[in-house]
Amino acid sequence: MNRKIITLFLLAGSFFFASCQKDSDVFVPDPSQINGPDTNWYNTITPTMPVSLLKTNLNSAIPVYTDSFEVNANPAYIITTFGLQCGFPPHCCVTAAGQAITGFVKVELVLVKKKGDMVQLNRPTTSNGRLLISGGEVFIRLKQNGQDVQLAPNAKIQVRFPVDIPIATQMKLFLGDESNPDYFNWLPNTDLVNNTLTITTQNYEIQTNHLRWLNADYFYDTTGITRTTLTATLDPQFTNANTTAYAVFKDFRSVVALTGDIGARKFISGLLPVGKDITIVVISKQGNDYFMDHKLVTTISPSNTPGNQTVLVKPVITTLTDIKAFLGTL
Amino acid sequence: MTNNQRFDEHIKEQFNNYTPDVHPRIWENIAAQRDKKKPAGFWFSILNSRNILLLSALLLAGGSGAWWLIKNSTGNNSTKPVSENTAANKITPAVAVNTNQNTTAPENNAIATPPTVPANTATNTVTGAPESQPGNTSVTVAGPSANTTITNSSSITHVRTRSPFFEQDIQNGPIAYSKKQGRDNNRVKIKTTDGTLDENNNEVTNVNNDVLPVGGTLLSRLLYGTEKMAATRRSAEGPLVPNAFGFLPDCPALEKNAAGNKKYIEFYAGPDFGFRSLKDTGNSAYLQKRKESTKFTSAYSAGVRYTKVFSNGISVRGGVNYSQINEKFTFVQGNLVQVTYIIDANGDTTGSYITTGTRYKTTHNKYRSIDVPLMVGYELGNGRLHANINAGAVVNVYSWQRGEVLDTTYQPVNITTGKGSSPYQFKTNAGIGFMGAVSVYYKLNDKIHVMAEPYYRHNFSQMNKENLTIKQKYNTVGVKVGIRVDLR
Repeated sequence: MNRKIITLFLLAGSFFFASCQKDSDVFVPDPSQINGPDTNWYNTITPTMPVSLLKTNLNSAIPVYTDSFEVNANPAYIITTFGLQCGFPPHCCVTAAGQAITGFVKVELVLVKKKGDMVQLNRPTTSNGRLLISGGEVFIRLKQNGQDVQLAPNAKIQVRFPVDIPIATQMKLFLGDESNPDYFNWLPNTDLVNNTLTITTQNYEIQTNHLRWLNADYFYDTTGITRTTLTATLDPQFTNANTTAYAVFKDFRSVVALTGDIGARKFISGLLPVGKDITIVVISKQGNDYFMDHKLVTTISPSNTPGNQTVLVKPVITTLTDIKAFLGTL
Repeated sequence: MTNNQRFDEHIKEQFNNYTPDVHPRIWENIAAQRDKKKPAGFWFSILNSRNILLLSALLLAGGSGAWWLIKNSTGNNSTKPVSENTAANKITPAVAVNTNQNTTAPENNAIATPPTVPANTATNTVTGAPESQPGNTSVTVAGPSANTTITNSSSITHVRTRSPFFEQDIQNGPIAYSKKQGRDNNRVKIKTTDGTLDENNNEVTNVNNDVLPVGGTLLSRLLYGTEKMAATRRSAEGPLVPNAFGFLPDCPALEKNAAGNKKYIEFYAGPDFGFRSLKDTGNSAYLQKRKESTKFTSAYSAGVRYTKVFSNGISVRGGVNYSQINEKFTFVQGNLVQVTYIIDANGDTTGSYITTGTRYKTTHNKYRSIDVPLMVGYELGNGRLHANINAGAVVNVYSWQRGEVLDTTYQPVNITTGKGSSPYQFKTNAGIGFMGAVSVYYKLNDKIHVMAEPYYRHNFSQMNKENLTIKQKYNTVGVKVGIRVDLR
């Protein structure tokens, strides 16, 4: 009888316990994917990587002035509200194949004079690793029917934009080199016949046969100046595949991009003059989220550091709007 | 008054209220001996040792009685005078009644056969063989809480007890059931009387075949059934014909009033099985998704109830019942993008990453209810085994649910009672249902029975709110086990 009672209680208990099951909500990742943050550094940055998308998103935030003119026997002039002026000679445009074109041509113009805009556009002021001080960057693009058009042979356009006060008379013309998508470079103008820069009391006046990026810069004189490098140290999830880093000088219009060192897994600048106040800006895109941190540092002589100056940066989650708002203050 | 009559009266007065006690453990010990043998099932419990013995005795007695009756019926059709008191008229006594000894039948409700009490003016010994005497002789037959007197009238010897249940008439010889012409007059007519007299000062009697004797021995009780059967068959058209099993008596009827006029409280619990009904207008694709997403897993119920069984076997019961139906809800969502955030020690989100995969969601839905069953039934049984067939209404007091189901966009939606307001939530009162059950009780002791009760419950209303076209409800079958406590 006791066994019957025990069996009965066990059976009853099994029914009660069977009804006490836990709910579950399980996410099963698809196979063959990293189930965690990507902490890898890559030799080649592809257009699909988060950092490429980050740069695209930041670029799109800069307003582009658009206008058009008719390519004919008459010159054309475009005057913007922000001081940029362009003059186009008659029949100045040909197709990519070199065929003369007529009709209306669309003009896209951008004038960059803010350091924050230079960060957004990823147009640091360095030439072959040397620090430049910029008077302003100009972007000019001509299109017809959605296709880029070129300047006709021997055609030169005029570009004019306001100078800074005081006027830097040592400004030179630099042309933008976009051959390396991961590293934008300014090349000093070597064709002094077709490309000139004139400084007036009010404007920089450029005459050039180049389209796209133009810059009025001069090299920061580093003769006899102690320099150092800056290294931004980040958490492992910030890699060159999803992060960009810049050093923005406070006292003059210079922006230096920190490049990713794959071996060291850090972002390192070129040689920078010591004793300068610099804002290290690190921006990252992971998934659909944006992360940013900025640190104001003063470059220190390398005699006081082990060869370079390390800055610990910890980006936290933010929004694209907040990033743009901060960059506008630089 | 003759000396014998005075003696009879004296004896009668002395043993007027004599009721010797029977030890209360006699039948319990007998039953205990029988219970040592574990029954394999309900049907086996009928064929326990005691019932087998009874059956065997019945077979033997029935065969003997039938043989004797056949022999007598084929031999001599003449009636025997009342005054004769021959051994041939005597039959094996079912109940021995002796006015001197005042033997009584044991006080129990076991199979009892009425004492076949003949009158014997000489010795006043009633041995079951009817030996009627002319004249008005009286013999006191002592039975359990009864005072039986036997008086002989002119041709009919009445054996009357003060028990309200029966009276025997012994007529001129052996026990007989009718006085039809051509029948053997050596029969006992079993009659009942309420003691009223007719105009000739003869007692008004009513033939009652459903009479059970009290007192006497077990064998006499067995013979009673046999004789009754034989007499019945003899009274029918044609001689007594043995059946394929010999001269077996009818199966003893279950005692109706075994649980009569008693009150019980019962505690029970047990597993259930739910049959879900899910309908929608036009057999929509949403209906198919709902059916595929949920599946019955288990159910159980428990409760307490009060049962009153009246003396006629009718029972009423009411109580409180808790039932729970468990259902499994599964939801699979593929091509899902999961974003995981990295949070440092300061609580800052310092990173995130995306993972694609599939979501598997499992929710265990529970449908709970508190009900008040109101049942009417009929209870019957013998000393150890009772059965109660009952049915009635189940009034839902409150219902509440927990879990999730699919909405019309095929997404999970919470149905938990009290958690927000959703049209997919269920009613908190399911209305009235129907329940039918067969309860079987096995007596452990005077107070406790163990119970097993298969049942079926049908709900009339659907569980969903009225604003949905889809209709869902559960009907259940189950087995309740528990204990019954006699409240007397």
